[in-house]
Amino acid sequence: MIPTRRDMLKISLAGAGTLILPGSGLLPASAQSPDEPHFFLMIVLNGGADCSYMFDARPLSMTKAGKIQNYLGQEPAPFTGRNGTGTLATSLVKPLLPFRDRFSILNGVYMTPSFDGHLQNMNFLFTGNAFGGDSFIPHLNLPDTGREPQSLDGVLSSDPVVVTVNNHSAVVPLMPRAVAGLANSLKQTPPLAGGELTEFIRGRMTANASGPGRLSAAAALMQAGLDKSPRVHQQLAQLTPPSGRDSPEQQTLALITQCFRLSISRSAIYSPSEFFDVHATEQAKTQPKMFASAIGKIVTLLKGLGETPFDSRRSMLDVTTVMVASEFGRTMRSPDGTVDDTGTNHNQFSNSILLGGKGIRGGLVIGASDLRDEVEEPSAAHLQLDPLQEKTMGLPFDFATLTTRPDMPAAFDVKDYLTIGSVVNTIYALFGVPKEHYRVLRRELPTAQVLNGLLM
Amino acid sequence: MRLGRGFYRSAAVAAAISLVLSTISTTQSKAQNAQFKGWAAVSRELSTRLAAPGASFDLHKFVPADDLDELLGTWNRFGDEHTLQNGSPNSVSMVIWRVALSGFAKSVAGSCGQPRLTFHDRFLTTLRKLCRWPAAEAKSDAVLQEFWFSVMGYNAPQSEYAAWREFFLASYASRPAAETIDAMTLAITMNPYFLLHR
Repeated sequence: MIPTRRDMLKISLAGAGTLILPGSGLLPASAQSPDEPHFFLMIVLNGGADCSYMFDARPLSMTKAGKIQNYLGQEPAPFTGRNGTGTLATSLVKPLLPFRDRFSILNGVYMTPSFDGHLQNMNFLFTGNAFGGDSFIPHLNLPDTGREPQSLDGVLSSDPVVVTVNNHSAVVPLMPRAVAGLANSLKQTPPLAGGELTEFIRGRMTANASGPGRLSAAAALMQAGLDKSPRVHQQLAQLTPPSGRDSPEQQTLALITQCFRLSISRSAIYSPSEFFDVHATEQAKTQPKMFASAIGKIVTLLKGLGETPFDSRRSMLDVTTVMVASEFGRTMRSPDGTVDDTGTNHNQFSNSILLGGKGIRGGLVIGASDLRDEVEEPSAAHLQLDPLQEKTMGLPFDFATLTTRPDMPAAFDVKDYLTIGSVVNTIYALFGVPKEHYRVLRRELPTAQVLNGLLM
Repeated sequence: MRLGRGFYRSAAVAAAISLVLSTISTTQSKAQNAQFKGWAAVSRELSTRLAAPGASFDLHKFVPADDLDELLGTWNRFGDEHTLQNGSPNSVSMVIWRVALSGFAKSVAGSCGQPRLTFHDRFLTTLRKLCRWPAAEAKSDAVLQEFWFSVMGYNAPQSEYAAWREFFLASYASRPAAETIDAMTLAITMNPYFLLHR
């Protein structure tokens, strides 16, 4: 059933009432205790997913005016967060609504300053640098956070995400289908024992790790991996293979939750198989189907996390922060063709991100993108970056109230906008990552502001 | 004052450079690390160096389970780009390399009688000399060097051979041949120069 505007308003009002509950107001976050278990699940929508098919939709009047493609062909419904900020949502998000108080929606999130390529923006999402660098995922597992590091920084339980990172050596691909053979084999083979031979093998790695070159860097990683391998061996041998009768997402869920519970990994990265890069018309027309499928997979993971106990008091969702993100959003349409026969291109000026689970104040709508109807005029700052008005762009943002600002900047200044740097720094604040790792807005600018009101 | 084409060109270049620089994070970048060659490449190298002419080893049987070889370095295609995935050493890949290469090392060590793999004659000759360990003729530099180069190839510096030789002459001086050859093979194949792209 498609939720009507009335349904959406009812749900929104019910959610708004919870704002008066103790501890649920827009107050600065309290630090998480280092003793608390805390994990991170990142769900990557690969290819650049069009935010207008989820929680940053546009009215059909814009499509009728030729401004934006809409292959769903339905009027989106108003969706209001507990903080009173509204947006439009399509019927495709209906399966996510039971979780609406567990996650918040961040719209109009600005990605790279200068590039609109997949790799550059995926790099920017993970590293804060369009050319790649250190990913934020391993930082969540640093001993400096006050928590004992898990054996691995992360597991990647789906096809690889193409990204240029220096520090993913402990972010390990681990597919559910590999678990049975791996665990059985490791049960039959004793872990690497100490002794002269092990010390000799380790010694050659140490001897070759001291230079400045690439081989030395890898030898150091080999030595670190060898040192951890007995513990990892024993942990992996405890994995129970997911049932082959379950769906791929249920198998992924079973693997991820075991990795968290067995202290194998701090984080998990999962990317559904849908590829949202829909430049061609025929690809663009499949978006409703692709989003329905991907959202179904996200729901399976959220539901499963909520139903899987971590311990006698908490579910896995209670101890896991979840982020759903794509490398960027998409243009409203391609310049060629008619609006009902067009694809879309890349838009790094407005992305949507879902953030929920442990430590995140759920039910909020934060930020918004411009060009919300067919008559809205862009700011001069928008025209500076997108003179042809092909892209929506994040609206100026007030970090104190987490609301958009009404002004129309005459020139673009990244400090005016909600950026992916702020999103990552908010996750850093939640996990207690030292400030030296916080992302800056640009090399000569300060760190991106933490969204304190998003943290519990 | 009129500004010439050169000025605009210089200004454009300067702007482009500053645009690129502006996107570079202030955090210091680390040296990229070399990547594992991957199981397929290692298998191919061992087959080339040790297998009889026209034969190749089925080394996949030593990988603990299907698909796990992908965790040791595998080629991935994204559009027109081909990249090696999972090539960075980590604790999981070290577990898998150790298990897989232990299986291979045991097969070499177990070949003193009936060969368990289809080795070429020259390597079999060397192996049989080594099978006399701890006899003195098995410890000659010629035999040890021949065994080392047969398995390692010519990618490692002389110092690696020297360290390996010294270790086995000292620590395995009186141990049985099977145990020694098993350990020798594992020590060569777990060496960074054997497993990593240079």
